[in-house]
Amino acid sequence: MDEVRRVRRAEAMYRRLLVIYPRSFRQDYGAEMARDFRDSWHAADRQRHTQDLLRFWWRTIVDLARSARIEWLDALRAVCGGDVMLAKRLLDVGVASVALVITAPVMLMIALLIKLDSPGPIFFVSRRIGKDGRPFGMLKFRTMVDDSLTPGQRQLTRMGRLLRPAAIDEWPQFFNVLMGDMSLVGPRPELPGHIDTTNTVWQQILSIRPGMCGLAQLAYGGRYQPPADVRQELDLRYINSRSLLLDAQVLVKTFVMLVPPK
Amino acid sequence: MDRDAEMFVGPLTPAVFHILLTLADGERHGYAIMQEIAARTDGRLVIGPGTLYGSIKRLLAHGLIVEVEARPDPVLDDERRRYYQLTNLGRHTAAAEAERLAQLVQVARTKHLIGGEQPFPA
Repeated sequence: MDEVRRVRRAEAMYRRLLVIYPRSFRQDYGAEMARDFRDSWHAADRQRHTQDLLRFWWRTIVDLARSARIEWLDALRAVCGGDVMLAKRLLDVGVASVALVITAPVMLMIALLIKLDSPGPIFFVSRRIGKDGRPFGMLKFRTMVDDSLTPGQRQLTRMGRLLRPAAIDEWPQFFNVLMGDMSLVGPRPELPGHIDTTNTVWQQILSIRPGMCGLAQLAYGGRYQPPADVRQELDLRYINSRSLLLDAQVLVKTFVMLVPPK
Repeated sequence: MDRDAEMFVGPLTPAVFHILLTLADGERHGYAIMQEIAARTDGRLVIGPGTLYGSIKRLLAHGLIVEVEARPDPVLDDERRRYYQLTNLGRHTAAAEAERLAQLVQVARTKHLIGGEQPFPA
């Protein structure tokens, strides 16, 4: 086999090996890497010693494996926005999964009761604005009489009166957390009409994932919702001082607030 | 804290230091950097394309090197490779690393691990 055919085969094999890299890195540097590989392959092939060629392939594979690992870690960091964010995401996914498993029997029963209580769907999907201004459907158990059946009537169902005080209607948002739309702790996601994306305060608030509970929901002992400007201030305070410890504190306080000892 | 920001403070990896050293002479493309490093170290340090372009990516991201805008004459330039050159920050970082290594060598000398000039206080 002549040298041209051999190098073409080697380069094709090398290009196939590049799939182990994250796509962005492959797109940026894959072509140049393959070209450099081809040039250095010539140098190794010219020596005509099988041993040299073997050593060359071995070095190539070690090089690819090591650097691909680094690039994947880099890509992961970029997606999660730093190690702190990765830890938060892991906490979110962990707690939400456990919560879903624990509450599954209760939630199934609630779903059944909602169906029996009043006609309409089990879930209410509320269109909210998420991270980076991306809209998503926030899940709730339906607590109102279905508007499409009785237009103009904004009326709580019997199940609604039961679920709302303990905020159980918000439990389906554990699914939103799992899907990555939401976090456990963060600013509450707003309705589309309430947001001014040209405002720098809103831009800051929209820079992180919205949460199931936040500082604003704990204010005034959770008895009533603070006015919009106070909510913004608390959201900003959270963004500027957020840490896993703060997240844990908010979670515990929210839990204590919602489950009053009887 | 942002870990990336601290990455090029403190000891550099041999690959990164050699890349910066190579670019101290002027602009180079990736393959030329690889070859120069192999030649300079008598083949003891061979940097593969993966390690090379991974390092280049991070050096670019941290502003230690930049891609040269104006390409060399396309007739001389084979297959339009990308050329890189040091920034001031890159030059300072390489100098600081060289300084750090020089101090280590100095320590080795005072302990008679290697020969050479002996630094006695005047």
